[in-house]
Amino acid sequence: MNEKILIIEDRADTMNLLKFALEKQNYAVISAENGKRGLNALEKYPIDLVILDIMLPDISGKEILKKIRADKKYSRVKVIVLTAAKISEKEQKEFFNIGAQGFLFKPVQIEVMRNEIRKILEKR
Amino acid sequence: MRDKKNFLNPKNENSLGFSTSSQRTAELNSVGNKKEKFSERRAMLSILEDLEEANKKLKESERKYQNLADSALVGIVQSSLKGDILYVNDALTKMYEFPSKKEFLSAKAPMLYKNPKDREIMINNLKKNRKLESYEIDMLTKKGRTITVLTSIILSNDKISATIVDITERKKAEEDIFRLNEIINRVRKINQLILREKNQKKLIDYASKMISSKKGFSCVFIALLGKEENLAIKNVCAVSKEHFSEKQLQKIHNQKYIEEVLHKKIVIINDATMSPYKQHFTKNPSHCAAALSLHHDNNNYGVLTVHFPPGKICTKEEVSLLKELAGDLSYALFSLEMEEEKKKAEKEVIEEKKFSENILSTMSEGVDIVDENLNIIYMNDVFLKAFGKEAIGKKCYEVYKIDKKQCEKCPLKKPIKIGETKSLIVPGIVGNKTFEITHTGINLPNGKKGILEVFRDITKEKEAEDALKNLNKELEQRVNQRTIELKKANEELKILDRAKDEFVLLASHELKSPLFPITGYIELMINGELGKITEEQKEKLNIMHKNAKDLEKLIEDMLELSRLELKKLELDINKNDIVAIANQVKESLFPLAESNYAKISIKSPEKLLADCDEYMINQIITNIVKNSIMYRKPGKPNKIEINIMKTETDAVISITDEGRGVPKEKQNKIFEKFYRIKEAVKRPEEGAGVGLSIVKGLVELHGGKISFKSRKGVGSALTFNIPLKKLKGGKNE
Repeated sequence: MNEKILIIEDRADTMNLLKFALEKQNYAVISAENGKRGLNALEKYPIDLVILDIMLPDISGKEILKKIRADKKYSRVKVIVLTAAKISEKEQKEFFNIGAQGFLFKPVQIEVMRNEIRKILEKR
Repeated sequence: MRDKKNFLNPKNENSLGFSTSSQRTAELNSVGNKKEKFSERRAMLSILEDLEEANKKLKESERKYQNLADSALVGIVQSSLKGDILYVNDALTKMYEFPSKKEFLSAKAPMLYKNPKDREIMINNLKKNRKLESYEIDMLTKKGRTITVLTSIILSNDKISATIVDITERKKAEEDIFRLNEIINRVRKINQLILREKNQKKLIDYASKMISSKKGFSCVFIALLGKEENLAIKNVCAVSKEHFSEKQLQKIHNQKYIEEVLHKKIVIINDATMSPYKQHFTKNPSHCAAALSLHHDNNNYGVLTVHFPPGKICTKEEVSLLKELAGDLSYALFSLEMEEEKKKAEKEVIEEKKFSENILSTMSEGVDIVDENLNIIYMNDVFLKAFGKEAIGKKCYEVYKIDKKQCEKCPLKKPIKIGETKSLIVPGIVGNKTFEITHTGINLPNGKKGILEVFRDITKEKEAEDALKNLNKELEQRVNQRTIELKKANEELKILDRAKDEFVLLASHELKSPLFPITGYIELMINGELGKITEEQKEKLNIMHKNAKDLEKLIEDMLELSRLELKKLELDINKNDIVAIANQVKESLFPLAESNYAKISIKSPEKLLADCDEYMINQIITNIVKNSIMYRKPGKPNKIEINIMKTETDAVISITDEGRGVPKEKQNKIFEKFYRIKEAVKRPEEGAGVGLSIVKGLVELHGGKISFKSRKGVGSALTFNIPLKKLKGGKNE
């Protein structure tokens, strides 16, 4: 069964790129353009991994991460933060502490991203 | 009162009645001998010398007071606690003999003191008391002259403001007055002693002559007591040496004898063998005498002893005659003393008048003398004109003070110390002025004590001082207001800073987000995931990708720089090994170095720990080494050396290369933002020129400095230092 990846990303072009790049790798990709929809999709589908943007129109990436980690039924869901924002190392650590498994900066090399996802999913 | 003339004037027309002093003086003078006159003259001569000296001093002090009035200008100075002079007025510049204000302002305040410790003491007092204080202090002028100044000083806002008055001349004049007073007192005392001795001697000689001329009285002996020294025989006089030598008489009239007579008032010795005074008359047992005490009221003056020829019995009439004689003599002595007192008082009044007229009235300031009961007993011309003669005898505070109350710190509340001079600043004097009153404890001519007060109107000084105080207060208020404003502005700035920071964050996000689809799709296309592409297409896609990456680097540099400028870059300071960091850099740059014919070597101790941000130090070294790699001489090998040294306080890192070097005229520009020398711009493989300005910013954030040396065609060397210990309160906090 294909692993399900939820992408929460508000930029359509970025979403399409990610979707294309990941579907090519045979992942089932579910897209959500804001935090609310992301959380709904998480409820609805058995998601394995979330690619989470930080700057979203409604809820911040950090809040979404906190919500995910607050619910025990999502304890197996992996989260990779993907952002274009300049995030200090201190803040990155904070994300890891809350419960992220990966941290990537846009524009990340597609291959680097794919490797990271694979690595994290393999760890399960 | 008995009639003196009756008894005393049986033969001689000259009376011993002592009715008037002039009469008596005339009588006495007629008895004085030549020897006395000579010693009198000599004494007078010495008095004259003293007076002449006094006169000289008088003139000097007059002149000095004139100078004083001329130079009574108030200097104003403001200085910092450290001693920097912040403000000085013309008067003070003149007072301290500086050629110009400018020169004064470059001087240091402690240098102005004769004893620089005085300043520390004053400052300590000011810090403790926080109020205006006055000091009399010795200062040094620019020319090295010592001047005594009176300074009123206040500390406010860590600034010392002072008004300064040169009182050197006044001080000298005050000392002179005091010395003059001493001389006058001495002269007075000598005069009195001479007069007293002279008069007593004359009186006794006269009396004894008179008595011995009487029938039957063979020898008169008068022993007088000194006034101050209790019962000491001062004046002994014997006119007849019929029965006793003077030595013998002296022996008879010893202390014990006189005491006994004074106690019994009258002793008649008709037969010495039977008398309790036997021991006094052992040489001549049949000796007869009458001894009478000379006293008036409760004062004992001495003893009169009248010796009779042997065997003579004193009759009742003779006894009463002698009694009367002793009474008259006592009264004469009493009057003489009274006369002396009166004369002394008169003389003192005259002297006092002369003293005051000559010295005090010439003073430009108001002068008075107040006795212990606060009554004004003297005023100089200045005060007499101001308050009128009727003020003399009144209480000082009733005359001078507006509130008619005794001054709070009145020196007369304590016992007067002769010669002690102190100053007092008293507000609310006539016309609501403020005076500085310098008072000196002095002996008054009547033997009592009093104070000599010199009044100086310091209203204007006080006003200047108050103005200065107000100015300071105003300044303080303004500073406080400004501080509040600044704090507010600072708060606003912080908010703005945060907003800017957020903007940078947002800008970074907004600028880099569109890059991702570009680079991402290019990568997918190059991979062939979007369909087969030709080699040429692939080549062009690579160029596109590289440019997109350059753009990303440019954005990052720009944002980093703007964060640096906002000083918002957070340093994660830990103890890190700089040598290890350098080795990491060497390793990570190895591929780039190799492809550019460069060889990186490190010369360093084994380990060098410093408080720093590991990532930032890595960035600094990486940036510099990258530059060294890139600015190579075309087609030539490049040797890059990272040299790490340790000093007592710093890690010093120096990176040298054998690259193209930077022309001298352009060397000072390399740390400027976006500056790159022309040749470098042409090279397509390089990033933006912000590199070195970021490096500089990062080094400075650590509290270090960076320098650059280069020779065109030879190579470059960049050296920077990182303090080993984290700077407290520095930029990296």
